[in-house]
Amino acid sequence: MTYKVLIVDDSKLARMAVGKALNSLQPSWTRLEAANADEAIASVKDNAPDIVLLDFNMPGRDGLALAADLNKLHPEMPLAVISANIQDEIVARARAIGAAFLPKPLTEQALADFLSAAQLRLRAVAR
Amino acid sequence: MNEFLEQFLIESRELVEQATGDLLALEESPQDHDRLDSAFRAFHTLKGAARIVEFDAMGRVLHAAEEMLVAVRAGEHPVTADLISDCLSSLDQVVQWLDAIETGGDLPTVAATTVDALLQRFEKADARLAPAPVATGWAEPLAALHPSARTAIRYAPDEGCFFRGEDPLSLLERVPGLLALDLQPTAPWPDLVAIDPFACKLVIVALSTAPPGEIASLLTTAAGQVQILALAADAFSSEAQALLQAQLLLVADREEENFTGRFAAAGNVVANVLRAQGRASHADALLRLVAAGDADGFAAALQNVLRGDDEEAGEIARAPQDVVARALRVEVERIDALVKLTGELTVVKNAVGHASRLAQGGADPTALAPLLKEQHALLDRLVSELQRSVLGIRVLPLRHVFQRFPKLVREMSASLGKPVRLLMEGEATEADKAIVEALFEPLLHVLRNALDHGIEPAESRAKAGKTAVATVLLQAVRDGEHVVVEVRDDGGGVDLDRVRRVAETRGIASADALQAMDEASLLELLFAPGFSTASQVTDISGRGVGMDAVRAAVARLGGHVSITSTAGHGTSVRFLLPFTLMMSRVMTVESGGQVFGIPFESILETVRIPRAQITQIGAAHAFVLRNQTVPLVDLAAALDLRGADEVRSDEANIVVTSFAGQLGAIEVDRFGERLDVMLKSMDGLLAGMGGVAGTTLLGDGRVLIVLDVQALLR
Amino acid sequence: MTVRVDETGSIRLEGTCQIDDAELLQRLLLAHPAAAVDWRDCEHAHTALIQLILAARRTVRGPSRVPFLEKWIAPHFHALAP
Repeated sequence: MTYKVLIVDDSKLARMAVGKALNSLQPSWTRLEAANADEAIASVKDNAPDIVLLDFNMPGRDGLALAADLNKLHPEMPLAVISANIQDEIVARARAIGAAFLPKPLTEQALADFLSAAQLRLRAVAR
Repeated sequence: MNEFLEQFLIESRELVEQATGDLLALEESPQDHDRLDSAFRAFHTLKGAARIVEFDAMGRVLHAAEEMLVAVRAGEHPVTADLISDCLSSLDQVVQWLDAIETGGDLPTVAATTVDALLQRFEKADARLAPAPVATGWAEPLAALHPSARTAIRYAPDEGCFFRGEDPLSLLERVPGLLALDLQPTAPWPDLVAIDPFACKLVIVALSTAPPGEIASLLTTAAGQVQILALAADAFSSEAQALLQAQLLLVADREEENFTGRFAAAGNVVANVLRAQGRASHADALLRLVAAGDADGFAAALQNVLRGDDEEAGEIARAPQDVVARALRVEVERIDALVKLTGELTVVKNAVGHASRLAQGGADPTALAPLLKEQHALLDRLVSELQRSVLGIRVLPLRHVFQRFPKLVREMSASLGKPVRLLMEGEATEADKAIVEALFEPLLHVLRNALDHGIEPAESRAKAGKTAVATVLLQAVRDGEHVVVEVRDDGGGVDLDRVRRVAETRGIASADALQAMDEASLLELLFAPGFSTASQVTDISGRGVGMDAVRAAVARLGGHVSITSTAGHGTSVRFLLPFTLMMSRVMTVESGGQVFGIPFESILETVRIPRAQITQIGAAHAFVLRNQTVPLVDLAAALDLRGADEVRSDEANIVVTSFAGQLGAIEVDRFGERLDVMLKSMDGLLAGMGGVAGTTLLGDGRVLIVLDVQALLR
Repeated sequence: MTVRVDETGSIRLEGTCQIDDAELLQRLLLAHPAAAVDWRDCEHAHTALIQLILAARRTVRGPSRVPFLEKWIAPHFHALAP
């Protein structure tokens, strides 16, 4: 089963880094990119990604607010909020939405762990 | 350089610019939450970028700065001048690192002292973040078994952590220097069948020899689930200490026989002791120094280890491998353009080959002519395109040099007690890389002058009805083949009376000459060597480096500096620079039967005067141009090309030039034409030949020698 | 297929064993109450799997090829001579 993953980050460098890790873990999966929350919402509507990785820190709506919106639209969609800012409050808020919290820079191991948890969840929903 | 590092440089420069602007705006209006948020985001994204490319030093510095901004956002710290300074300093350091990456093609080696100095500035933020005291009973039983442990960790993951992709044990796998790891269930295990495989029910306690800070940063993702405790046993045992000290003494006396052998032996002892103390990375670092034969580095690093300054030890150990390569970062598009041009040139080459075969086969020359003409036109276009593309590779935006000024101007402003706002325009203007990189010092000097001398003290400004905050504009504009960089202040203008006084006391000109001088000539005096060692030497304007040095530096780049001033309204210093170093416009002249080139930028004008107006002064010649006496050199004579019995025409063709504020003139036999040439600097046998700036090939295959006017007139 | 019962009746962990292998491991442990776990070819074991082996108090055949697992996790298992 291959999935579509949407990467949301205003930094192209960060998108490149996440894309690279994703590509080496799941080369057959489809990668989508968005540079801000509005693009992300549009992409979710147009492309129906299965999994969304969001940067916490973005101009305009931040990653947590976006994650909350996406969670309302698609409660079962696995979400991960990525941030270099690991404050307990952000980690806790991500958990409250049911989103995973991944540290930035994203390591392949951390992404692998999240993706397998996400697959677990997607399969459970499909059943 | 890989694509990540390239993207890193691009984004980082933009972010530094954003952050700098935000910080300066924030200082003016500390309540501006949008600016604060924007600054915070910029720092945060910069930090993230640094971590993506694994530039640890930069990540740490920015993290500290960001924490400071977090405290401000939380209302725990006010926006103070110090805070803005600290943040700007960290950005300044970042810019220097970015420059180093740009030239070196890779991450620079960073001295721990550099980072520490910056981190210390943010200590207040660290203090604020000191953890609240927590129950520590859990650490004691295990710690008692491992006296060399520096840090204890208690990790109690919450039950749902697996669903968020967390893997607690694999997180702990990254902890260096593990001494012990204990696994306990949160409650006695139920029957296997009753266990939820996706709920985490473990508590992990671990000990490590790594410092608590390092471990905290590794385990940040588990925040809220982890307790980290610094243990007292953070030093060497006394035996270890004594052993290490002894080795330090052993390598101190380098004169003794068989030093190499002793050094190697001491190295092994040190490495063994350090390993036994759980400091394997230090052991490795020190052994590398032994292998490199660097006894000084070894002793210094070992001392740092003994002092507990472990990062310093690591840094010093890395230093011998620091080899910097000269490299240029080039956008892919520019390379693509070159590849495309190469293809087109190949096509033309083949066409010319075809034409030459036709000519060889006895084809009618008149029939060949249009063909050749067409191919020539095509080549002409392609070659100029190639020139542009190649030169384009060497360009950089002036942002590279401008970026550092906001912080520096701010510091100068503070130390002089003159409030100043620096406006920058045209940062995106591009110029040759070598020019951009060489502009920092001269521009800094001019900015210093503007603040120190240009801008009036507060009372004078108030009296003149000016705003209390002075404005300095730093502006870059592309103007054809030139780039103009200008520093303009709204100060009092140059005090011409003071210039006269200084010039007289410094013996630069006589009182009479000074009285006769017009404003432009007086301003030129500012560039006279020795003028700037003025009576009022301040910290800011420095000593011994004057506008003469600025002019010389700019002249080396093929540029020119001028000053204009309006009394009461301000001073403007203007750098006129060539867009590229390689492309120069020359005027050809003929003398003694040979053709020479004179760089266009050094020519003020050409005049034709009756020979009778040239007067001899001792062995030299001179003539009067608009009331000014101009020394004259006969080019043919200077180069020993003049026949003894040559009949001279009644009129002399003269090229008037200017250097270091002085006029000078060169007599030539004939004026030629204007040419754009790629100047090749002299090398091989001709290197160091006086009076010659370089050579270029003329269309007919002759070599054109381009003169160095300054050297010729000196 | 990273968790399976091999021809000797041991439950083998092979390669990278992720969280999604936990359910299967639990089923196999329940279905083979006397089977040992062999993790010699395991390159990564998720905490969830280690927790299950601990809870099942199952004997583990090592050594693990992952130094971290061998040094810090293996001592918590009932070891079986290789």
